[in-house]
Amino acid sequence: MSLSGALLNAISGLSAAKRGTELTASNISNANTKGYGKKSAILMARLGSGGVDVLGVKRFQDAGLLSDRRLASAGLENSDAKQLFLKKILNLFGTADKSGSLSAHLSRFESALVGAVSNPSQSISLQNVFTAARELAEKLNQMSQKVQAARETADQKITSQVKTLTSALNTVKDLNDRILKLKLNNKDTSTLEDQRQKQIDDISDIIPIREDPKKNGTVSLVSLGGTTLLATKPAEILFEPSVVITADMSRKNGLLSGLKINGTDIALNEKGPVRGGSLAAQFAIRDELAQAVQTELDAAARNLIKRFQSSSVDATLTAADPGLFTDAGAVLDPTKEVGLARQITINARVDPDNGGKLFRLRDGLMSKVPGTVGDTKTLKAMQDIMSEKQTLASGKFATQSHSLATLSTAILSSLGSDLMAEERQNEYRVSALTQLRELEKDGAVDTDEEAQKMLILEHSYKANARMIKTIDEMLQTILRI
Amino acid sequence: MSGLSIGELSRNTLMTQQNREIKNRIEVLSEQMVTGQVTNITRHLNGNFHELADIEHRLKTLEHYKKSMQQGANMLSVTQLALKNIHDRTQTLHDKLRQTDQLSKTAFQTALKTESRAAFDAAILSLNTQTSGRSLFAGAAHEKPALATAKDIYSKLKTAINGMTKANDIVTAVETWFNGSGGGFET
Repeated sequence: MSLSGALLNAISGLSAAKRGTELTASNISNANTKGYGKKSAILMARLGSGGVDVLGVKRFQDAGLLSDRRLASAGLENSDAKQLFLKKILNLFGTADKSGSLSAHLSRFESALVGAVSNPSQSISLQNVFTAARELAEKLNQMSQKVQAARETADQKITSQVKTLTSALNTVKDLNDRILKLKLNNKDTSTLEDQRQKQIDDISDIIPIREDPKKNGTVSLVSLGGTTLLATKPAEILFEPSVVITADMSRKNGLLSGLKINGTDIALNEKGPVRGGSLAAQFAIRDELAQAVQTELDAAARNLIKRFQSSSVDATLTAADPGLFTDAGAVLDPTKEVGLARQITINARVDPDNGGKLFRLRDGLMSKVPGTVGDTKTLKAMQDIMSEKQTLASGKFATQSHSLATLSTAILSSLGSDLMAEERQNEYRVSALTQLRELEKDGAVDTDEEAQKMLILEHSYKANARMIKTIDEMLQTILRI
Repeated sequence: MSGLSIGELSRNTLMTQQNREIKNRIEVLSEQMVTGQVTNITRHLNGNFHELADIEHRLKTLEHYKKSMQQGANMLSVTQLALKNIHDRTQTLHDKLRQTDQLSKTAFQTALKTESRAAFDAAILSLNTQTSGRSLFAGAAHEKPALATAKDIYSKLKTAINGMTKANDIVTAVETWFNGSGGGFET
């Protein structure tokens, strides 16, 4: 043993205290930073001559908790997106007490018919029937358009999420490389790990993933569905956006793009490799949920056209003549039902703006000259056919018997119960996520604890400095002899 | 670590969360208080809109039926007034015709003639009553009056009984004229 050895020990103690102070200062300054992992120095007694070595910096993180929180967050993103879509669609239909709702439009049309039956000679009565019918058709058009717009929005969101995903994967790859280099040189990598964690959080919301840490400090990312997103290099994710989407475009018929990972088309269902996150939700909205709503709208439009296209309602009609509601001006073509709700229009023969005449509502669509002004036969038949229960030919409620009013309510209620199911899931996920976040925050920086550590560090620094002073005095004593 | 220390952000998050929940709740409750309606209908009905839609639908249709009924009631009361009018006039005429002792007097005959003509005119006018643009007794073709004017009918009747002298013949001729389809009284 020598005094110079003691001096070296004291100096190593000083530098350990300095490193510790630095980390504590960093912890306190980041007390309110999201995603910051609490850090402390890893100390180890030096072999042989003694003293202390700072081996590295430990970043506190509960890997299990982090993984659970990521999954919960991804699940929430998923159900949030679906819930938002369902709410939007439900608002589009509107509940019966709102004047712009589909139910209200149907009621208004029926009421207008009641008014016309009791007063068939007044042109205002017929005008009311015409306006209500046109607004009903327009409401269906508008709803169909909005549903397709929702699909376009979903497509845009997929595009931007794929972009985010690609850039985040590249950043993680970059950080992996830098961490590897620093580790080889025995440098502190904890700040880079903070950054990497944030990037992985972002990725995980889009596609839920499991993080697979390697011994050399790098991580590889595997999606919950089992596709490797990042190993030595990031996976190549391809999606082709579609700017305009119409009802007849689907992934099935190849008019809309699916998702390619490393050149392979992947399944996008609930068991697919990207399941569970916000990306899967947008695909579900674009390819399933919105399409299902469109199918119901088309089925309702078809039923509406069919009801009024019958010679038992309007005796002047032959099989080749379109009724009051038409498929873009023509008779109903049952083989081309997709997108029908977008095309349903009022027959031009009654539209005064299109050279039609209102009296045809009373006297039959094909009549050339006005008939008896008090004739209510056709109007009464129209009123009756609205509330008549008919077996539906298509859609979710096919083979069920519905009037138009009950059909619109049945569709709305089915959407409502879907929304309720999604909301319940969502509530559960929110509370789970809140809990996990709280647990995670419990492990984050606590300034009281840091202050305590600072006292110890200060103490240690003073003691080591005192040591150096003592050694100096001892050396002076020797020299004075 | 969690047993020993509690992170700064933990309390902060907890409180923000609670605060947000309370605010949301107050928002919803005060809206319900002011409007008197539940804010989230979907949740309130658990996604089942059948009853609500049914009630709203009935309300709207009933409202229109009520309007139609009022119109109908209005028309019927005017109809009744017209019929009552005819009834009163014929009753008065009938009473006068029974005064057999007076019938031989020329002055009475002249008066009766004028009164009969007036009663006939009034009856035709009553049958041609219109309300809000609809002739009450004209059936489905209610844009036109039900009958020709009294003056027209009168002059046509005169032609029909031209040259007749016996009362019975005249009665038969007038009845035939009125019973024939597409008669001159129609419009």
